[in-house]
Amino acid sequence: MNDRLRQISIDPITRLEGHGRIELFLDDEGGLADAFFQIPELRGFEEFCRGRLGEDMPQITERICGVCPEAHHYASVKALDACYRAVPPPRAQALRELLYNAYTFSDHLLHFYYLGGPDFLVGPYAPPQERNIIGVIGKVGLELGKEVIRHRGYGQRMIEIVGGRPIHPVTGLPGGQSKGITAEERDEIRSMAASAVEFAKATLELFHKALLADRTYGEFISGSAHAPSLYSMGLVDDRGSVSFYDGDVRVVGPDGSEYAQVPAAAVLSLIEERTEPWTYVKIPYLKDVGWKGFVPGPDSGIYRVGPLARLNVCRQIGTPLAQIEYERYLDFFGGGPVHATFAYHWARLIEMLSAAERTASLAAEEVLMNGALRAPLGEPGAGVGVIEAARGVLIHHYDLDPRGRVRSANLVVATTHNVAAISLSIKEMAKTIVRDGRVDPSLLNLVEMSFRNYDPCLACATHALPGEMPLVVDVRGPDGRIRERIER
Amino acid sequence: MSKAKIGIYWAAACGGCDCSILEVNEQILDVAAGAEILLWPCAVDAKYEDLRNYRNGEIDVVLFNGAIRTAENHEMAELIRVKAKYLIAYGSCAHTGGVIGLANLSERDRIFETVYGARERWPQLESSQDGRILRLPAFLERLTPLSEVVEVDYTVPGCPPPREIVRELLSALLSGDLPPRGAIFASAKNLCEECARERTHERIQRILRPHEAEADPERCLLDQGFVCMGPATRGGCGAPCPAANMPCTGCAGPTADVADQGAAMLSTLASLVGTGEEDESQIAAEDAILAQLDDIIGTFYRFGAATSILGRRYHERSTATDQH
Repeated sequence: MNDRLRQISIDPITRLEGHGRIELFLDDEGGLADAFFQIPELRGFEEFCRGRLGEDMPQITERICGVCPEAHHYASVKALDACYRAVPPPRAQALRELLYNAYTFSDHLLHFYYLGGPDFLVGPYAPPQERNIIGVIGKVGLELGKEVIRHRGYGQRMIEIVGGRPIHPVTGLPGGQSKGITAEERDEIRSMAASAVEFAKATLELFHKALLADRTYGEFISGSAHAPSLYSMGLVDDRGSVSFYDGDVRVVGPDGSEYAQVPAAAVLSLIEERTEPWTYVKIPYLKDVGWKGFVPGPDSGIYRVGPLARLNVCRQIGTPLAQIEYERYLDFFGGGPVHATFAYHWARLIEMLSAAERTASLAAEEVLMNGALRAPLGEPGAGVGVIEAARGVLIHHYDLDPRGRVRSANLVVATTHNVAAISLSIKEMAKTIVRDGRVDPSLLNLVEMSFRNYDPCLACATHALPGEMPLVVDVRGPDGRIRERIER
Repeated sequence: MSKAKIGIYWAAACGGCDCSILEVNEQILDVAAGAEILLWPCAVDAKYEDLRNYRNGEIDVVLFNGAIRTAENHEMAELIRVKAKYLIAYGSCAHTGGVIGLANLSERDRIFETVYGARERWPQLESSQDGRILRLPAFLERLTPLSEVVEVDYTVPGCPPPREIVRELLSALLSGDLPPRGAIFASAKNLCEECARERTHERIQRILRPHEAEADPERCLLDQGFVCMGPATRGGCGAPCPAANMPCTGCAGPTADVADQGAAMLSTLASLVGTGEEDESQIAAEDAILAQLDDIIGTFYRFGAATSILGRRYHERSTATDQH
């Protein structure tokens, strides 16, 4: 067997956000020797955010990810609230949460119908040129297909109304929002949100019919082959409900017992990260459990974030319709915590329904239309903002100088938390498809399906805790004079 | 007419450009019916191997978003250029380098130090894991826009390109009715032309930052002292940011008659602050107003640091400093 045959590349991996590739290595017996999930990109936000104006950060950092810019925008805005010791007035709070739940609905919809869902809605073994949204529409029919497009549009339109733009919103400011909404816009949101609830219910019906009843999906979601016992991390509110916009960080162990519950700002004390020479992404793990390699179990510090993990750390969902579906989900698995990696899809749709319900109830609140949009600000300092991005816990941590410029910016991003678990899942799946030194190319998609469960965002993943290096740079104006000296 | 063969590719990008194509809502069904999508990593399962196997010029048009940040981005740009009849620089990063062009302010080693810490922790271009060789593409010294590495036929500005412009572009692609090569899908005029706010041409007495004061919703933001990039920025988006009480940040790049967006805006701003009087105390007062600009690069070159003259000079200077 020559070397070429002993190494199989999937490049690029597709239907996700960002660049990634998978390298599979076979051993002399023709089995899988090892699998690597590589992220070949880096931007350096941690470096060039230094010296920027604090209030510009929500619009700068959202360029980390155009699929979930709302998550970065509001993690950033919340960090600035903390930096300026400002508590946004109830109206601004309601507007932000409204936008945020509309985003969660829209982003989860995108994953189910456009990114991860086509593997099952069209079929894991379908020709590659059909495994996409167009193939999905072919399968579910033009009528439902148009509903998919319409409701993704609703999610984006709600974001646009509150955020000023459908992608890369602009209205978040420390202590509040730059604008309100008109009565007509509020009515438009109410009717879109009501429709979103119905659409989320219909999507769950489709899930039961097309995925849960499907033999391949049924095999993947049941049994222990794709269910690594890992820690889970997510935000919960003061009642222990799933909370997308705000809350404490809760971590549970593989057996479901509480490992930690801390104020969001303290999450950085729970984790540590390592680098590997073969990827641009850093790999975090629970510091006190420790790094034991890419292995599952209670002694391995690998943890997961995102829908599956959020449903493992919560005590209830927090909205009535999604709660009913959550109980069906728990019944199916005989109680939590759920480790089946393919259950991410189901958990995501339960959250999509909950986000639609929350959007609808927020749209009914009178506070949206009345009161101040901005709170007075204190002197700038340091602050942490934490939020649940669709893909998991997202943390922005800034230190501002007395003029409100960024001295340092730490970003801990959803997909980064999941990198070790994704590597583990890929290897588990790869083991099952390598036989006698051969891999049927039609089976390689199964390996990709194992990472698509996580809905990874790899452009996001390459940003994480920076170190501290001294640096002085002079910024010169067109006339050659020093306009600014950036020091750190 | 046979179906148009199109490709969509991202280099160093955030995915917002890919999402902006979905913002056309039901028009995407026309694209599905009227075109064959040969490459779209975000949504379609075609691999690099498939791309390499296409004949030269086989893809009618590729929408290329993202900047050239790694050696892989550069290689893909060259490969796609050969495979595509028309290549479109789509979005700010491909057009002017985008926000991530701000990385050109720092040396590559500094970026790695900030992100990974000590040198022994840095990722390697080639590494061995138990004798198995893994490779990573090089992180280039400078980030560049697409047009700096290959010839570009059309440009679609914006971060991301706005919905109506994308609709116009897709209609043109589906009908085959493309404008003359070199066209830019945006307004030739600046953003102020389509902004609903009223210019009062008041002299700026104080620079205001958006978190410091609530803007009057009717009057021009610049007249109120907020640094709005509108005068130096290409229109076409309908000015949604000023409509949301936030200044334009310049994502669509410079207008047709301007080479350096930031320099053009600084000059506009200076003229709104300056009285032209040569009295020393007046000059000092005007300087004091301009000294309130706390982040020249991030404000005036938010999306254009990689293409500005300033950016390059800065880079050379920074390298020279490092050698001391």
